[in-house]
Amino acid sequence: MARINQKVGGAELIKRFLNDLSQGSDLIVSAYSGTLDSIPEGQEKIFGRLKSQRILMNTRQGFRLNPNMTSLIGYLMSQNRSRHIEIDLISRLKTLDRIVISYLDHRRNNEELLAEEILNDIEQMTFDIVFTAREAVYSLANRIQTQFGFVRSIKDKISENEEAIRIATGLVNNFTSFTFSHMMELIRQDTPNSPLYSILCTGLLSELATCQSDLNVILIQLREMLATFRSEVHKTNILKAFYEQYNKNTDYRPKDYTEYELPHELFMKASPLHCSLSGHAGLTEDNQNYQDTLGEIAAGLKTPENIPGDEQLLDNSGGLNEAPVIKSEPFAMDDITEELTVFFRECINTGRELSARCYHEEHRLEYLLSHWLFAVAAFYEDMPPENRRYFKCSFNGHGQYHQFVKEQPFNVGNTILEDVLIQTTGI
Amino acid sequence: MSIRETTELLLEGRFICAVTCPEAFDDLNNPAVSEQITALLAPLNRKIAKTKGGNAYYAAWANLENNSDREAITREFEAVRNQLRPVVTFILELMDCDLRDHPLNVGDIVSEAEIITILENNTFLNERNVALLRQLTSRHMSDPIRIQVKFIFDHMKKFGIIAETTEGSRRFRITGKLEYIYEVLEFINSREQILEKNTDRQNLSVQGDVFNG
Repeated sequence: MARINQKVGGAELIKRFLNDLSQGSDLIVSAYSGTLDSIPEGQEKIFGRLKSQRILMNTRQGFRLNPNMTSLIGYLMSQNRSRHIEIDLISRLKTLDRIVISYLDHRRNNEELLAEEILNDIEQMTFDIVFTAREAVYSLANRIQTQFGFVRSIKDKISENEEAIRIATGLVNNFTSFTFSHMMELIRQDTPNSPLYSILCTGLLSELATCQSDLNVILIQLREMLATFRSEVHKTNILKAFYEQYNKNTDYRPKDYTEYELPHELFMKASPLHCSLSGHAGLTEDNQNYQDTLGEIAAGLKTPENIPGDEQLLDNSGGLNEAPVIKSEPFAMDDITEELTVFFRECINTGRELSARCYHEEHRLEYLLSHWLFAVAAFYEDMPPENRRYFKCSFNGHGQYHQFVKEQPFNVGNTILEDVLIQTTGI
Repeated sequence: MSIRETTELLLEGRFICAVTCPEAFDDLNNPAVSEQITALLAPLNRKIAKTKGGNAYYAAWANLENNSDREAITREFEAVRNQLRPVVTFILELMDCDLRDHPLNVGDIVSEAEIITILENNTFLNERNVALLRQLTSRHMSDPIRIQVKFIFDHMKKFGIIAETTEGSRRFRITGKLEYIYEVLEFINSREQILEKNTDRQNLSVQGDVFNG
């Protein structure tokens, strides 16, 4: 009964305490955020009450909130700044073990009132243990979620992560120290339908089992995260090493790793294949992005020293007085002329009509067919008239486009050359 | 995004990541769509490749039987090799400006304005910025810091390392190509032991200081 009266008395105190908190909420909030430099007028009375209850304190540095109150507000705001995680459950579980044994002793001695009181303590203690375990798991999970966001440096994150792994491992060890068989042994010592069953088995043990399985998941995540953090450090080290390498060896260039028979997958990146062309062949959005760079290159190319030969193509007036000299490059046919001579000689020797296309195929000429056909035609056209009269040339080809007029197609546009036929007219 | 568009992006030689083309990236993460794209790329001797970190996709040659494909990979590697030095310097500069000891990763945001403010108030970092600029161009050396920084950011954008969050915002996100660059550096390091050599060199210089002191 004394216990119950104490609780009733306590209720009045709690109500008064909460009432003071409510009235002094402005002062408490200011003190919590560290901006309470002086007590505003009209609030001296409530400040006095809060001070007497040791909620607010007047220190040399100013007004401070009771640290426990700060923690409570922080907890309620889910901004627990304390990095401490309570993991010492073994000692509490051992205490619980002793209390349960004492409860059983009272039961055996038929001291029901004492047993009843101890049962309350067991319930309270079990709740404390479960709450602490849940809090520890929640704190660890929270740290994973924010990737130890309360520290910025990766090295600090690594030490925090290692600490979290130590805590989680410690918690698992703590949980396993109180086994199901041990609890059942304790429960069996009590009467059937013992309240201990619901407190220890359905309450404590199942909660601890849930926490343990959560912790196992957390441990895996923590280890993965640690590996990630370490790889980040490695990445930083590599970046710094390359930076040093480039600075200390100005000629340094990584080796060409594409020379291997089968290069690494990283170096197998396919070259772009432009699907949609716009305007000019090969002009894509990417090219547009390089316009500045291309502009620079073009500007470089325009400088006189980059143009072969030092002839001025325009006169001093910029071409206004005289037409500019247009520099033309002679069409180089040296390499093909010899083959053309052979082709025309063969035509003379055989006395037959020769197809340039067939000749190209038979002799497996390395020139492009279109190039060869054009060269044959040009060679014929460029011959002096006295020589050209011995040959007859006909062009085979088709128009660029077909147009249908009255269901009869006819060609429009330039002819695309398919073959050139050369025949001697007799010498 | 349609399968055709995603395939075209790959064929254009783009790095596809959650920053540059989020929809195409989702498509490629979807096994069913990815399978269809693989089938489309196969006749062109291409396949889908992914960085080890899984944050960027690109098209790779299926084989190198054709000589022109082999020449193409040499050209691609040459382009990447030319980008390595400025990119390494750029990332380290951003890390130093942000006072962070870990590198930037895909999706991280970088604000050009913040970098300009930091550089304007830090001579040492500013000198490093000029050194980076010199790697990219011979111009803008005497220009104000903001012009120099803008040029560098624009260049990195062209490299595909960063992408603007909204056109004109001058706030950028790190793209998946940086992950590719990290992996290239990691590969080169595994062959040339750059990190080990650098550590040895640092140890030697420390020993030298001890003896000189």
